[in-house]
Amino acid sequence: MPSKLFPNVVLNYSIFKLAILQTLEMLVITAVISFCISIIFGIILVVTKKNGILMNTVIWNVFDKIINLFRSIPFIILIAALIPLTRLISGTAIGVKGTIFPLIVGIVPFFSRQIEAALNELDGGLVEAGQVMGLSPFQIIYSIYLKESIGSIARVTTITIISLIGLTAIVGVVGGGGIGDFAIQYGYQQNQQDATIACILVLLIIVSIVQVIGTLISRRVEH
Amino acid sequence: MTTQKIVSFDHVSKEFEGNNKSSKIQVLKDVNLSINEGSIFGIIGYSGAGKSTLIRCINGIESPTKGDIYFKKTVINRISNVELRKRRKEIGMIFQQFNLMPSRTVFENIELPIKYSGKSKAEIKQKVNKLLELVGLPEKINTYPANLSGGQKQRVAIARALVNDPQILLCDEATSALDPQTTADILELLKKLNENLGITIIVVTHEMHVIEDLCEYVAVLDKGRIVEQGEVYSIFSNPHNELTKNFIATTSKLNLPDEVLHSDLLALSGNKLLIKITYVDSEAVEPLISYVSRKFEVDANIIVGDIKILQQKPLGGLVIILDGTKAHIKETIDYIKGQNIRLEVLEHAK
Repeated sequence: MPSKLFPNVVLNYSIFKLAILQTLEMLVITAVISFCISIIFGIILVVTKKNGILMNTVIWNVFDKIINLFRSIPFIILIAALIPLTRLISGTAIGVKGTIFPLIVGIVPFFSRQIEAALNELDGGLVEAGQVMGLSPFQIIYSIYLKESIGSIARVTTITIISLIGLTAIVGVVGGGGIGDFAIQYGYQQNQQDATIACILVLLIIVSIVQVIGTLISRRVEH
Repeated sequence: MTTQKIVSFDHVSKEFEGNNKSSKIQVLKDVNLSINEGSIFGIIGYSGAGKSTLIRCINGIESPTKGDIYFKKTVINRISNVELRKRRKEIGMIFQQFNLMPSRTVFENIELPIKYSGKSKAEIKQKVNKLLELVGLPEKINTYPANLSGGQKQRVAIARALVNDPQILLCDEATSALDPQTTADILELLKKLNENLGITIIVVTHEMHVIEDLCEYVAVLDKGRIVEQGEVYSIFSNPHNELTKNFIATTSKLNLPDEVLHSDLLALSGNKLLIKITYVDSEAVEPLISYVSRKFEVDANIIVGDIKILQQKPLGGLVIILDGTKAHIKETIDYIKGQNIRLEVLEHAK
C-alpha cells in the first residue's frame, strides 16, 4: 500500500527517515536553547519596562531595538548573513550542526516577543500583591510572573515551535538537511509529488503533537 | 488604647507626569495626616481623588515628590529597597480585586509571603491553619480561588495579608466589589481583627457607610487635598466641608428628594412648616418634640426619622411638619435653635 501511494518515499526510505530525525533534532535543540534565552529576554523586557518592577529605560531600549532589528530581517537572508558567524560558532555552516545557530537567531526575537506578551498579560494586581508582601524582584519574577503565566507561556511556546518547524524547513534549502531539504530535493527538483505530500503529512503530525502537548499543559495549570 | 502615632504624613505632595511632558498632574497636595496605633482610620473620596496613591505611599509602592511619610520612626520614602521590603512585611494590604494567585490553592496563597522566609514547613502550616481559622474558612484550604465567592476571596486575602503578623492592615476599596451583606461580614471581621490583634487598620473607600460602620477617624480627600479630618462622630454630627456633607447625605434618610419636597404629598397648607432637626450632641430627641408641642401648642408631625448609634453615641435627626399659629411656630423654632440642635427650614406652605 505505501509503495503504491508513495513509491519514491519507499525507494528513499532511509533518507526520508534521516530527514525526519534531522528535523526533530533541529527542532528539539533549537526549541530548548531558544526557550531558555527567550524566557530571559522576555523577563528583561517586562521588568525593565516603564513602571516595571526593575524599570530601566536604557536596558529596555537596547533589548527592544535589537529584537526589532532581527525581526525585520527575512530568515533566508539572515541565514546567509550569519554564515561567517555560524562557522565561527559551530565550526560549519552546513548540516544540522550548521543550522542550530541561525535557527536560534531567527526564532529568539519572535519567541522573546511572545514571552513578553504572555508575561504582560498577567494582571498587574498580582505583581503589586507580591510587592506589598515584601517579595524581592527575583521572587516576584519566579513565583508570580513565571508561575502564574505557565499557561500563557505554554500557549506562546506552542505557537513559536510551530513557526520554528517552518524555519527548519527553510534552513534545509542551504544544505541543512531535514524534511524541508528532502521535499526540495525529491519533491521539487525531481518532481516527485508523493515525496512532497509525505513531507507535508509528517510536518502535519509534528505540528499536531506540539499543539496537543501545548494545550494539555496550559489546561492543566489553569484553574 | 495607646495614642502613639504609627503612620504620619508630613506635607506630602505627589505629581505624575501628564501625557505631554510639560503638564504635571497633581495627585496629592500637601497632605498632613497622623494615624494612631491601634485605630481604624478611614480615607474617603471620589474616584480620582488620590486615595489609592495616598494609601500606597504608606508601604512605599508610590513615593511622594515632596514631603515624608513616617512609619513609626522610619521615613518610608527614604530607605533602601532592601529595608523597604522588610518594612512591607510589617504592613499588610488587601485590594478591591483581591489579587489572589489563580494558580495557587488557598493554602499556597496564604503561604506565599512567608514561603522564602526560612520558616519550617510545619511552622508555616500551623500559621496558615490558624489564620484560616481566624477568617472563618478552614475547610477551603485546598480550594483554588476561582472556586471561591467574592467574600471568601477577600477573607483569604486578609489571611494572606496577616501571615507576617503586620502592625498595619491597608485596605484599598476592600469591600467595593462585594454585595452589601458580604461587605457587612468583611467589615465585622476587620473590626474583630482590630479588637483582638490590636492591628491598625487604614481603609480607603468611596462609600460613606464603610466609614460609618468601621472607622473611628476619617479624612475626606478631594482632588488630592484633605479637606476635613477628625473623629467620625464629630465629622458626621458637624461636617463643615460641602463634599463631606454630600458623603454624609448618602448615609442619611433625612434627605427628602426634591420631587417629594415640592410635591403635594406633604400637603403643606396654612401655617405648616417643614423642618429638619439634627442632633449635634447626644441629647435625645423625643422629649423635645413632646415638650414643644405641649409648651407652644404646635402639632409636630414626624415625616422621617433616622437615628443611628455611632461610636456608642446617637446621631441623626427628624424631618417634621409643624402646624399651629404663626407666632407659636416662630416661638418653637426660636426655642429649638436655642438648644444644641441644628434646624433647617425645608419648605413653607404654598
